[in-house]
Amino acid sequence: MKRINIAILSAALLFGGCSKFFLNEEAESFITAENLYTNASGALAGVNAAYANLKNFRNSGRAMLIGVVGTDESQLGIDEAGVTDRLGLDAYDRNLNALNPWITQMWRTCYTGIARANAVIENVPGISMDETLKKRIVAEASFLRALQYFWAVQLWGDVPIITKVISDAEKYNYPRKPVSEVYALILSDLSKAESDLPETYFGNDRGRATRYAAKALMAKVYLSAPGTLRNYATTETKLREVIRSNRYQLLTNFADVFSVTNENNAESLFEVQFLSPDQTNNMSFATGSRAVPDNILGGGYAWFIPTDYMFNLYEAADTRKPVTFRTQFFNSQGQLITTASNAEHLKPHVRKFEDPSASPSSAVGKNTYVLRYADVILMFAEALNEQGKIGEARTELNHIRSRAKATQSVAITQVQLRDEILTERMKELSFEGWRWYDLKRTGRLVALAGQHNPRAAGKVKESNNLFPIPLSEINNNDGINPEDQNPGY
Amino acid sequence: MRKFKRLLQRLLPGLLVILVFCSNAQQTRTITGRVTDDAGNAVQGATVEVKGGTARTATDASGSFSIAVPATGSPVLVISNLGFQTQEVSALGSNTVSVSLQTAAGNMNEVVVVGYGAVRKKDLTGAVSSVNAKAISDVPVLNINQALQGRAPGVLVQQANMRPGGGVRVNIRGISSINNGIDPIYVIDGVITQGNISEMNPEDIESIDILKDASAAAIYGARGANGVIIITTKKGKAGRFEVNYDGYVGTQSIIKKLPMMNGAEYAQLRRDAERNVALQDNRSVRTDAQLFSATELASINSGASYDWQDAILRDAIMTNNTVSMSGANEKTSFYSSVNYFRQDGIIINSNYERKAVRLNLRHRLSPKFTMGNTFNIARTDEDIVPGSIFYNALSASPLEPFKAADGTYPLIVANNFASHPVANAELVTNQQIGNRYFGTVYAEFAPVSSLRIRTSYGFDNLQRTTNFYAPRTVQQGSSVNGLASIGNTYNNYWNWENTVTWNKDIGQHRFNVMVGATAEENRFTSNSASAQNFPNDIYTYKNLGAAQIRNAPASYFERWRIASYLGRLNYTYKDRYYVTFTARRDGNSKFGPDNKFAFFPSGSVAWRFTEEDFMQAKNVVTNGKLRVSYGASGNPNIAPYRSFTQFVASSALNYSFGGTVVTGLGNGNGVLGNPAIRWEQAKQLNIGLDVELFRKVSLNVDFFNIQNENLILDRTLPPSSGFGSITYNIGGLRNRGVDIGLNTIIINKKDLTWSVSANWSMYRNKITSLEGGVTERLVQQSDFGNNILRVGSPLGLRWDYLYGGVWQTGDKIIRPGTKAGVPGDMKIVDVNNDGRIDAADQTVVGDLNTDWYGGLSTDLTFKGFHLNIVTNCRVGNDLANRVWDFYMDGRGTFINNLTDMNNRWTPGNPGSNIPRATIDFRHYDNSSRYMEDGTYFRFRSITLGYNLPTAFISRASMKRARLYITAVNPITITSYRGYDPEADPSGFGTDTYPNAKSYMFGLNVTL
Repeated sequence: MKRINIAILSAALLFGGCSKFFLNEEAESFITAENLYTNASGALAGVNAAYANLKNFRNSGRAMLIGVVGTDESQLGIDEAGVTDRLGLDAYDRNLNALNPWITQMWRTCYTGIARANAVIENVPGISMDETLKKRIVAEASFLRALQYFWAVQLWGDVPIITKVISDAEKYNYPRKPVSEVYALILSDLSKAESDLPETYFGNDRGRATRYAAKALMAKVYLSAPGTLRNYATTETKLREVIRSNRYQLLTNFADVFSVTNENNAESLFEVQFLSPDQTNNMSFATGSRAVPDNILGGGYAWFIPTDYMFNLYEAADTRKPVTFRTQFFNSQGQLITTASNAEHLKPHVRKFEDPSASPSSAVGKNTYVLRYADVILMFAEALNEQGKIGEARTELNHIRSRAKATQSVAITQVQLRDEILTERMKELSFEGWRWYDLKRTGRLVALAGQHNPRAAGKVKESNNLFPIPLSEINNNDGINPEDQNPGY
Repeated sequence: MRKFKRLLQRLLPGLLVILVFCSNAQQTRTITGRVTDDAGNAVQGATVEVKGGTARTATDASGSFSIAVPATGSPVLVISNLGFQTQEVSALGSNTVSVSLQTAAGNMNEVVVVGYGAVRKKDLTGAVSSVNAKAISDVPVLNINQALQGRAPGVLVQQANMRPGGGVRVNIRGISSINNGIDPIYVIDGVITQGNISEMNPEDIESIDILKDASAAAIYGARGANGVIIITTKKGKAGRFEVNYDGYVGTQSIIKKLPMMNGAEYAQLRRDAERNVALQDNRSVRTDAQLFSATELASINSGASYDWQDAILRDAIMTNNTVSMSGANEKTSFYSSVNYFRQDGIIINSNYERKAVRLNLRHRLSPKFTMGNTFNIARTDEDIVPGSIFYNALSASPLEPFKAADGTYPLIVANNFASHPVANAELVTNQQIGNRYFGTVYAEFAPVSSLRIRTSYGFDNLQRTTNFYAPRTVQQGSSVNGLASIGNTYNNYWNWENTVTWNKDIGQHRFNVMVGATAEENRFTSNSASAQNFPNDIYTYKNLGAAQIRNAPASYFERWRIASYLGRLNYTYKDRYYVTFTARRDGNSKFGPDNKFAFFPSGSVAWRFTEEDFMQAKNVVTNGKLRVSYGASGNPNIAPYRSFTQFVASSALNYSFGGTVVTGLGNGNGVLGNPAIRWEQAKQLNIGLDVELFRKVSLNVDFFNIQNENLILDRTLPPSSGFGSITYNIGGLRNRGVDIGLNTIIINKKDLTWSVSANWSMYRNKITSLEGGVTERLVQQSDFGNNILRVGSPLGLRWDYLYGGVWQTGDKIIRPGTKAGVPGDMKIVDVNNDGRIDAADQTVVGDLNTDWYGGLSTDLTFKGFHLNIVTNCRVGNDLANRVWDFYMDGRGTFINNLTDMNNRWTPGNPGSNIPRATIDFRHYDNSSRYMEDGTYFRFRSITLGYNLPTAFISRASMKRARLYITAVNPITITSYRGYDPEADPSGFGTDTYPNAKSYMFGLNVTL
């Protein structure tokens, strides 16, 4: 009996004593936050993933349509308009609602990037590693967080402010915060980026956010913020710092700006980096013509096309025109295509995203711009003009026109120049994703989209200056109730 | 333990005094005798006692016993044994008796394995269904679960995949989980496993016991919530040294082919579609020469038509051979078998082969010490038909010949986009090789007869290799010049179980106490590699290095562990009142640090009211028992590592700088880890009644109410979190139902017996809660349709647009969105009557739950003949018949259609509710028209056997010889239009391997 007692006791001890260790679960075939943020390479991997989210704004989903279609610049392709959820983005009809999957995707993509940046900002300071690199990484994440909050606050107005890694998912309660608070966060992140980011990078770091990218973005923020937050003087100051750095210039030849072999060039401040074969974007596919198979240059699915108005704005000699538009389509034998199942397939299509070295068009490794020097110059012109420095402003505008071999501006009044700058922004920066934002911040969305976009005409309203908060956010976030929805949705 | 010792110390002297007193009290004489079964074999371990006295003994291996009886009076011996009718024999006037025990008529005396022990069925307090070896051996079954089909109340067995070696789905008492596995666990001789156990030879099975309620399943604690199927394999029986041969050969064929259009009908469909579209688009109608390929035109001219189902189907042979040996003496028992099974599939080039060896040994080293093992090794070889073969065959144009003029297979069937089904089946290599060995080694130590200490180590190792090669002569391999891959998975499981069992009868009190501790580990690893662009088609998968493009290899690892303590107390008073307490404390590595452990208690009481005096006199109710149980069990079927936020490496997280790809790691939109995740729990109440009438009819009725709580659901996170979901314990579900089992022996004469068994089950389930505040949620199914989860409604409600036939001439046509329509287009019901068709018009269009299901089987023996019929049915469940919907789309391009489409709407056939012919889905809208009633009644098997006469076989020194013929699935009655109503209802269907009917001839010889 005694022996049995001992045996049972020892068996019990064996299991009881070891069970804690025995049942311990370890991450073995994957990485967790706990074992990622332990050294410099983990910190880099974290911030790289935050950059990687930018690719999602230019990829398979239709979030890329937001900021582009529904404006005077661009409209949906005819085939794409047959699908109601996409039609809503262009036609401002009842399909532009809280259930719209692409608005949800845009929201999700912004916040996915914010969450990745948060993980870096929260975890990296605790790592013992090279302090300079540590500072830079946190500043890069701050830049990326600011960029995505900037898009979000313009699209939706008051938005939840999340600055930490989610650890309280059970009672998920993040209410919408006033626009002013969001802008304050953006500016504080950008100040950190401005002070801690390097002026430039070399070798295999080329493409990371720089101090001047932060300054240029800060300028855009001051130029875009509503009400008293807007500050043309600071915009001017920040842009002047960029210009005086002498690191940037307008490339002589506009075509070189969009050459796949000329990425991260002297005109570029910040680009989304793509690389064949598995770091590719879908922009060429999204803009190519259905008249052409997508494994042939110019082929694709024509999710969006230029409006007739916009295409006709260019002077014949404007060197941007042949770079921006494809007007002729060829089949695989190189023969000109003259008929298509729908006439629209042969209308001018966007060419900026084409990459002659890529096939199919859904896997293009060419970078896309977020901030480039032409934008800096045009913002500079705008800030000057708004402060009444009309002459200086016109000079800046004419830098852009000169490069394009377009007629020089002779505008005299501030109002004239304001219009010319806004139009010039469309001609120069077309389809690069800023048009909707430009119309919104200048208060011209209803007027210009209503006038020049055939589907938006008569439908676009002032309430469309904000998009609806996605229903999946309202349903799952205790802090946002249905009555908190933006007006009109 | 100390208390127990003290109890023994106190009781033992008293017991000794009583014994001594008794033996001295009166004069005795000794009676010797032998106990045999009805076949004359010795029965070891039968209890022999003197009626009204205290003397008691047990028979030895030769069935012999000796017992002292009072010298005066007319003593009566009571001989009882598990599985036999208790018999009383007068010992008056003779000192030797010979007793032949009759196999129990009812099954109240059968032993039921309940996990970590066994009890007599009449002592059961929980809900357990059993199937014994005879039921399995009489009717050949291809796998273990087929033996359960239609035989056990509350157990719904459906063949999930009819391919040879394919798995089954077993539901016990409804659906217990919303997201996670609903399969029961299998315990094979103590080894706990889940999923497909096709590596096991069904003929090795002695018994299958299904634990259904909490009282029974709680001993498996955390894993009992879906029920437990305990499989016990055969052991050698004392005094019987036997060699047994079991074999059959059979042929299988498809139960039904789908009625596809022939060439002429298909040609007409395409012409109609062309005409309709030309009319709509205001263009000229294209001619046959423009519509059809050259080969199709040739067929049209010659009147040829090709049945592509015939091209991929065949009548297939299968054969099964088992030789087993078994026997036992006083010290050692053994059972060993070898098995060879080969099943050719009814689809060309699909085969399954199993070679299995079993050895079960048990050896008594000393009266106190026993050790033994069960051991199964199996190798399986399977040729799997590449995916989409049915899609390709059904889609193929019946005007296209199978082969091109030069005798080769084209890559695709022209005009169809369908990859060539026959070429894929014949030319693609897709092998799966499995090696599995599992079993137990154990030792038992019984220091005193009432106490048994057992330690058992179980293991289950399964390695599967998949070899794949698509040559350049098929579509998949053509563009990449050959595509090869190899994949290996290894699943290694072990468990170590230590139990102490104490059995004691003290007067009218019977105690059975078991306590134990167990530990388990499961490791899963996999690796795979693939390559393409081979210089030739010679290497196949055998030399990946020869390819020009070698894709990145992949590997994976996951592990979980469980540590548990368990205990059970059975207490019986006067064989009348029963109490059982069961408890198990489980610790599982899958859960977060603070929630690894959970406690699963249960209790049950039973009353055998027929033992009461007031029932004794009446011989109507010969056995009756009322049972009530309540308890908790669990379901840990979630993927491991859910407590972690996993950063999975992927190219989407990577980025590039300066022309170089850099690694990125961070949240995707995936699952946010939840360290607080804990067990799903099922609280189950069971009320059961077992009644045996006239020793001929036994009836079991069980009512159950299962409340599932803390169901593990993925809660959708708001997109602002940067994550998609988090796994939470948030759902609740209730299942209520009734299981009824009825066994009757209608005739029981020497040359003629007839018995009937029936079972009937129903359950209703209801969602009681979903994630915080949400009252309904859509869940996408594998057929891309949605089910709706609604608090207060059952699981399995289908959510879609309602089909309303077709628009007729003169109707005001409304179609979804801005779609235009013409008469003959599909009509979606405007459910909310707002004049437009949009998401608000979706509604519940089907209920996938059964109203009830059941089985009926009968056995008739006449002299040497034996007829067995097993039937089952499932009533009232809707099925998503996507195949019918898909092949009724009326498109005049790409795919063939079902003959039902011949009755399509035309202006001349306006009564039809089948839309007109068009192209490009112009007439088509998503709707509920794929929902169908899945009710079926099926003859599972009909077997006619003949036992050769003893006089004849004994001359050939055989003990038994039996010939039989069996028909499996010979008759199915259903209105379901797909291949088989038993097929996976959530599957898209086009790739489900169809069910077969088969006919077998078998021979069963015992030497």
